[in-house]
Amino acid sequence: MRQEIWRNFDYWLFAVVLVLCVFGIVMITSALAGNLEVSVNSQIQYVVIGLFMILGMTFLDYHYLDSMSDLLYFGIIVLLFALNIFGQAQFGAARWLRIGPFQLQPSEFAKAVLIIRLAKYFSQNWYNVHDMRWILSSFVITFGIVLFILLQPNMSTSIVMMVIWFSMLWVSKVPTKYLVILGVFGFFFGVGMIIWILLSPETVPFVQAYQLNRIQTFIAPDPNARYGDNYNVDQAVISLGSGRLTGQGYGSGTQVQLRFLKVRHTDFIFSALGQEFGFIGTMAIIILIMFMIWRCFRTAMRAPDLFGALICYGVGALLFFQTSVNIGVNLQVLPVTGLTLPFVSYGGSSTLALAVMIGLVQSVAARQVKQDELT
Amino acid sequence: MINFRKNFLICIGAVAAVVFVIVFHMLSLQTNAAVLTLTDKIRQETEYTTLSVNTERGNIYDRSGYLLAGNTIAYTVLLDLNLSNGNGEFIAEYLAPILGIDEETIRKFAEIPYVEKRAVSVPIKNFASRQQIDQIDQRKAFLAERKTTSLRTKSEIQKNLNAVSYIPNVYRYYPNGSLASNIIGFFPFLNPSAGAAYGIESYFDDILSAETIHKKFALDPNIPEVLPYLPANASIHLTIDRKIQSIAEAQIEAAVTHQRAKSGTIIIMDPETGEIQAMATFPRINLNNYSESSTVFTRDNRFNPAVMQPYEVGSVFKVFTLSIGLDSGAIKPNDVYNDIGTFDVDGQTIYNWNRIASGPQSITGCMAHSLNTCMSWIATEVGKTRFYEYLRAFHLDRPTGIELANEEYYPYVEPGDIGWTNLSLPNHSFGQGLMTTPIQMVKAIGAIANDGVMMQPHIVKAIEYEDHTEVFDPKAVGQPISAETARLVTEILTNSLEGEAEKAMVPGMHIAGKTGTGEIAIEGLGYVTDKTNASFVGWGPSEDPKFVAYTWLQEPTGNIWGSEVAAPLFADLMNEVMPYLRIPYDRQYANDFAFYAWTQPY
Repeated sequence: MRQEIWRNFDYWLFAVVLVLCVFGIVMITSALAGNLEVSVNSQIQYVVIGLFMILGMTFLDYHYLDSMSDLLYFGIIVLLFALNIFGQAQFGAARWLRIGPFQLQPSEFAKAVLIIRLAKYFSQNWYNVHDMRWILSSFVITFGIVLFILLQPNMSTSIVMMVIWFSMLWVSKVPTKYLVILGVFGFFFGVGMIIWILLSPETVPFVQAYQLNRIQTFIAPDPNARYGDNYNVDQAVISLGSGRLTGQGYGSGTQVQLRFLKVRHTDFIFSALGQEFGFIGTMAIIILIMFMIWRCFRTAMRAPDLFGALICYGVGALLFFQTSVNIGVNLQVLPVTGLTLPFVSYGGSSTLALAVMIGLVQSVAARQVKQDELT
Repeated sequence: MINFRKNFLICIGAVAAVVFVIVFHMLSLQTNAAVLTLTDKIRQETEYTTLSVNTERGNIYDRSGYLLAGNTIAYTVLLDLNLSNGNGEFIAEYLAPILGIDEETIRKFAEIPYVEKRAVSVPIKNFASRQQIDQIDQRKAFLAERKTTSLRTKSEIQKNLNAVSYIPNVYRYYPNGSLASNIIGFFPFLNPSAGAAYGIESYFDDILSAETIHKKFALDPNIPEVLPYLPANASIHLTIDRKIQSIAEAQIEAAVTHQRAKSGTIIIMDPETGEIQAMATFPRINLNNYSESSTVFTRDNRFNPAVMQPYEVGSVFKVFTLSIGLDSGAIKPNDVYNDIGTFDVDGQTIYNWNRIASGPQSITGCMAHSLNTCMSWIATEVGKTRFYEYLRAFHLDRPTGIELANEEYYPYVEPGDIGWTNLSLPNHSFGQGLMTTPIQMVKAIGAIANDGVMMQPHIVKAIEYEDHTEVFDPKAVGQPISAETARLVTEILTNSLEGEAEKAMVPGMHIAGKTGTGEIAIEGLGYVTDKTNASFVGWGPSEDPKFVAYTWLQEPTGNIWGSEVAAPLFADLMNEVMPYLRIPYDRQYANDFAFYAWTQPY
């Protein structure tokens, strides 16, 4: 058994995660540029813990999670609910949970829980009728978590979760009829929200003024804004544009080292590496991440059962969505959000949660069926 | 067993599309000219900041350096809405007694909802004093030092006055309120863009006005920068004396109030230098409340009637006719005029003011009885061409050029102009049908008081620039009549004054003077008899005149006659002002007074 696990363990996936993490640490070290509030050592700790968690998760048979999924689901809801209440009583920011020396964001782990719970739902109902009731039930499961994330408030994570739901719904072969209905409904929902925002922005629930501001800045940047809202994005674009082919060299990017570029170790780390390593560096990162996503999808296709396949697929979709949104923000094609670049951006919760998800994929991969057996 | 393949192919297609978009966008960013020049653009925008500093508006002083118009710092108290929302009750409770605003108003201000970049702060009081600001600071410090002692007050302790802030502003300030307000004019400090109005403030606006100095500052802390040098603005020293001015203002206010006149004007000028020592008018406004000006002043009752309101002076004008007659040689001082009560011109008849004939009269008698017929005769003797040449020489056809804004004058008709008839000459000779401002009268009569030399009337003694001082020296602007004529006219008018208006006489001094009661022509009605302009001009001492004083009451309703209203005003004024003018009394009077004082028992 043990040897079988290591025989089927996806070394490529593990390697690419390791490379991305190391690259991230290297890049964060440069991007700190004297910022004393953040220490690269804590990222190294999280990376090491994360790598061991991947190995640990590999041992854990993911089938146990099938039966544990309800426990995990309600557990995370209770945690988010409690955090919401205590957080509001304390500071008003209800995102962080303190465990010993670690500060974690349960919402990051909630993504993993949601993937497991949805994978269970869709695999159980795979052969049932795919009607409206089937869609709505899956939506209720998703919204049970999303509601508490919205209450934090944390719009970007909520959107990520809705995207996970939709992509898993889609891969579970939602009939075209319902896809059209969902599309029409989504369209009217979007138009309705836009009208609501335009008419009276104060009354829109869960949406903060700064979020509306970011969208407004993205759609119609104020040309007179001096230290304006488009400062960060402008600096990101300058960083990427000035990187040219090979970059300005590690540790010598002007916008990075002179700290023009803000939040350069998290949201805008892609711009930072774009300036220091140039077009080649960014392409390398994109290729690495795409390779990682491909490994997830590949595992999904070789998974022994539906549950495992859907987990791998969900993780791949999540990585893909987060990566494209983060890079899109850096490239000024999307409004600013708080999504990280997987394994590269600084952040303990993000790294650990993603490690757990990669661990799940490894757990599936370790129990994969041989290609010839499958067909 | 699981047919994922189709969906995965779509997935891979989506991934490929996104990667393609990213790569394409990366390449376009790295080649886009707008992006490559963005660094320079942002550098230009953020490398420097421009700081605007206002210099202070120049001060105005009286002749002895007493401040008439200056600047003061007042504070505008603001509420930061971000912090004040929800704390209105608490803030109002603290601020209301300090600022003297009721709590309800402050609470309403404090609870105006905060909107980022649109509603950030709200001013709740302008012109707060330093004391009020100090009190606010004390309260703030007190609240900051509070220590919590129990759990119950823990949420209370977070309430503070941090929402309250204040900014100092430099404002125009007139320490004496209404003193010399007609001369100073005002600067609308609440609405500076409206610009200074009237008087010195308006006339010298470009000298006084505060400049805004824009200085580009590098934001790079390594580039040393100094604050721009702020030049002190020029200050203006007037010729008026605040003591004489305030006496004149008190007198004109009393006279206007007592006579229920529309307005009143007093001008005192030194004929030897042309310096205006006082120019008092009533009504006046408190310049710190300059907005009153729009309600107090009208077209018939202007801000400074002394320079802005021409009117028909009436008999006062006879002084010029007499001077012209004597100077041109048309009459001799010992001529006798036989007054038959009428004077015919082209079939039109001119009457005296009281419509009686007074028989043979000397020139002095003509003036004492203020005979219109006699003046018409003199003017006819002089001839129209010469008469108007003399008026021009007296500068009665033009503004005086005194350094006060909005000066007006009345361009009278001369022979050859449309509207001039043969009747105009006799009418003009006794001051009807042409209008002059008090300052024009004072300037012209100054020539008679100063041996025929007409001095430019001026009200600015010096302008004190930052690096030099420009002194306004007396300037002669003409000699309309000879010195002999001037002395003769003064002598005649000294003697006639005793017969005409003994109420104008100042004890201990010989005064030359002339009263005038100008009728007011109302459009459509012609001259109405019950509305007049009562005026008096006097100068003295007759032996060597040191002052010319002009009094004018517009439409007095108690008594309409210049001799009854304006002349006593002159006497009261000069009695009080004389010591400040430093003019010695007549030696005989002084001796008598000393003897009287010496013989009085203690």
